[in-house]
Amino acid sequence: MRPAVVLIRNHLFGLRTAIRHMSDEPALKQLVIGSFSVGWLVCLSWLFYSGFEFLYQLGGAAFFLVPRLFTLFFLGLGAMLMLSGAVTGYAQLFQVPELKRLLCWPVPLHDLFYYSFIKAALMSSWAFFFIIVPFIGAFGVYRGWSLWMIAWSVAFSLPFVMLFAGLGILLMMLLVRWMPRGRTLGLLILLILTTGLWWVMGYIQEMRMSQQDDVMALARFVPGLELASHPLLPSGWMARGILALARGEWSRGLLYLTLLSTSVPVLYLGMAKLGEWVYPESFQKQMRGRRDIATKASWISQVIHQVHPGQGAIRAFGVKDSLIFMRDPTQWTQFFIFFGLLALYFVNLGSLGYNKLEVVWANLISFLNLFSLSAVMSSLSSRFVYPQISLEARCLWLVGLAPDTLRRLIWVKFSIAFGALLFVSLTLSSLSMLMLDLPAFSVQLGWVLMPCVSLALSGMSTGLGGQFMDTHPDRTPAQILSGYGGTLNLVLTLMTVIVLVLPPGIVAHLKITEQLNGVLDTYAFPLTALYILILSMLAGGIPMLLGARSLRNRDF
Amino acid sequence: MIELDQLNKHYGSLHAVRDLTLHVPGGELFCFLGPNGAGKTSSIKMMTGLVRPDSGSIRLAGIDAVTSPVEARRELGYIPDMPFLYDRLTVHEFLLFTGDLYGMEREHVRSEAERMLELFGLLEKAHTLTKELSHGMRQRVIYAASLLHNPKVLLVDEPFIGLDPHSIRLIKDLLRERTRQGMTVMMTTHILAIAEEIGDRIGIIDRGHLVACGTLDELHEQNEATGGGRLEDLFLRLTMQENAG
Repeated sequence: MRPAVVLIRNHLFGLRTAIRHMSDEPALKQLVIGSFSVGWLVCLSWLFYSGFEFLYQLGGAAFFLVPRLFTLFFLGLGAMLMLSGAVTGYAQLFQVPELKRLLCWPVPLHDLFYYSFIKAALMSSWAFFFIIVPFIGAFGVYRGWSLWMIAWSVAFSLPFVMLFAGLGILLMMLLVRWMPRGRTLGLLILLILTTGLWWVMGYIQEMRMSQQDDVMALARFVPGLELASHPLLPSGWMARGILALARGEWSRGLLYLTLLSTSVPVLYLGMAKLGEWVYPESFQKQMRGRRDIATKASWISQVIHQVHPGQGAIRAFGVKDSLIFMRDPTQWTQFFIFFGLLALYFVNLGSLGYNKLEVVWANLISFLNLFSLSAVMSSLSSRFVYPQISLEARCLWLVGLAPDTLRRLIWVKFSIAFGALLFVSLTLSSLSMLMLDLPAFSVQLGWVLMPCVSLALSGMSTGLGGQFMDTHPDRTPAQILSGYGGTLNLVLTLMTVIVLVLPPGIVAHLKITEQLNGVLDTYAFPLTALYILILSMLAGGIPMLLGARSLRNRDF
Repeated sequence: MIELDQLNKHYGSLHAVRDLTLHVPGGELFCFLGPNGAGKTSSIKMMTGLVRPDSGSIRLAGIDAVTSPVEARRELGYIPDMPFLYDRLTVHEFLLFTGDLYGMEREHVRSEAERMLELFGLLEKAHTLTKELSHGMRQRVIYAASLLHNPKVLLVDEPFIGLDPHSIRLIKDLLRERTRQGMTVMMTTHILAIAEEIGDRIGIIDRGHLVACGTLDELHEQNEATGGGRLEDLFLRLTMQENAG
């Protein structure tokens, strides 16, 4: 039996065992995952259905718009799948602990790539279940498709997912092999990319202004539409193929399916050939690179010592946590991707023309932005802050014995988390409010709200992290987070965000639309600020007290 | 320096430590022996304050560790059997972190860190990530960190597991040297030969009871009274008797 088949079979056995043991997971976790998945599918299906309903109300325009939107949809999904494939492929080919064992075994390189390719495709199946199913399902229900169309959609989705996941791996291998590591070259590439991006944006803007035909008129509202319709893009084959089959154009539909399906082995062959050529050197380069990281980021220590010249636990943990964060790419990439995307969106609020909207709409968008920022902070505080106390428990021989540190650990961790969240939330919320040109009332409310959200989230995640401390020495942050306490923390932080952001948003809306009168109008700001302050102190303070008590009374 | 009086600890129905009374004076290297699960680590963890005793008192360097744990910890160093190090800190950064935790002055930490790096032969590895170090080197880093604040009492849990002969010699010499300077060292080990070689006194614990305690000569005398042989024979006989009983 080929080694790749053995590895894939082993991986599938692991998946089967994990699925069988799902019933052993905490009931809360099952409930949360189940309700979030169902909620996601229902909401997204409803959203897509409403969208199609709206489009077909436009009459003939829908027949022109829908195919183009299909191509755009699958292009966006393909881009996400490429990113997902690149990340999974990188982890599989350069990071997973089993890699060193695999490389010592007589496993040919092309088998290793085949295994990585299948694994990346399996990992990318989220796209089918959570994006393609509601999209195609909503369209099929609206258009009254037969059940056979579902089978055809699955037949299209399989090569589509594999193709884009494989393209992601291919791109990743090229990047790893030829991406320069030197600072000068890195800066040079950044400069070239920035200039290129600037030029492309200018070019698109110019085209938008000069062209007047229907496609370009549509492209003004939906960026990337022209690119998505390119005949050589596999996302377009998927869109055209499914729509052709739905119209009963069998030969055209099957042609696209064949095109998509035969591209997968061709891509795999190319990937295996390229991999055999570049992988050994790339692997060595990565190993060397990890050692180079050693002394990087040591300047952080100097900076923090300048800012905080005294002595004590806050500085010690501040320096230590910053160094570990900067030297662990899996941590800072997640952080920067989430907040970077938000920052990019906020910066472009002006380009989208949202600042020219009526103040009522601008205010609404502003609070939606504050909500999305708070929701991202909630998930990141669950990811980074909640496991902190459990992770420190592994070093109790030192941390637990340093005078007074254990008792203060929870407050130290809270201070660091609060400082980081405060910085991010104030910067991004100010950017959003500035770009939207909001009235003073909304801006002041935003400035009260975001520090309080930071306080509540950092207090809740740190406190619950102490209350549900996981002292098992081999737990990763993801494993710590996936327990009962981690799930509870995620749910509670999300609920806190809702009850903190929604009421001030409503008050701001009522104030701007002049629906408040009398005392309520006069005291709208202090009353709302008081509500935010009390609620955030309770949401952050109670878990902190519980966590501190748990640490105090615990045997390690 | 270490005074344990009527110390008891239960974990549910398990009585892990029973009426442990022990006095280890300053400048003594005390070896604490016992089979797995005998109560050695529980006793040590109670001294560190990581586990609270159900009853009894603990005094370290004259300070009550139960009522004044913060003050007691200032005088204490602890080295567990499988200690965790922050993988993404260099050796030097880890020592600075330790100094900061103990509230030491920055310049003092730097000079002490340099001294420790030299003492443990770690100068060349000062700017290496701890995850790149061998087990022996990691163990040296842990000793350096534990001794950085110059504790009066050092608790060491299984110090010689997986170490090469050079590291074993280094640590044995260090422990001897420190006890000569007045530090109290309490060490658990499964290697009876090492306990015989470097221990000033030896205590044997089984099922939470301290079943024998004394200098090597005293234990030999006791051993001859109970049938003769080496420390190993006494250890096996005492712990087997307990297990049979």
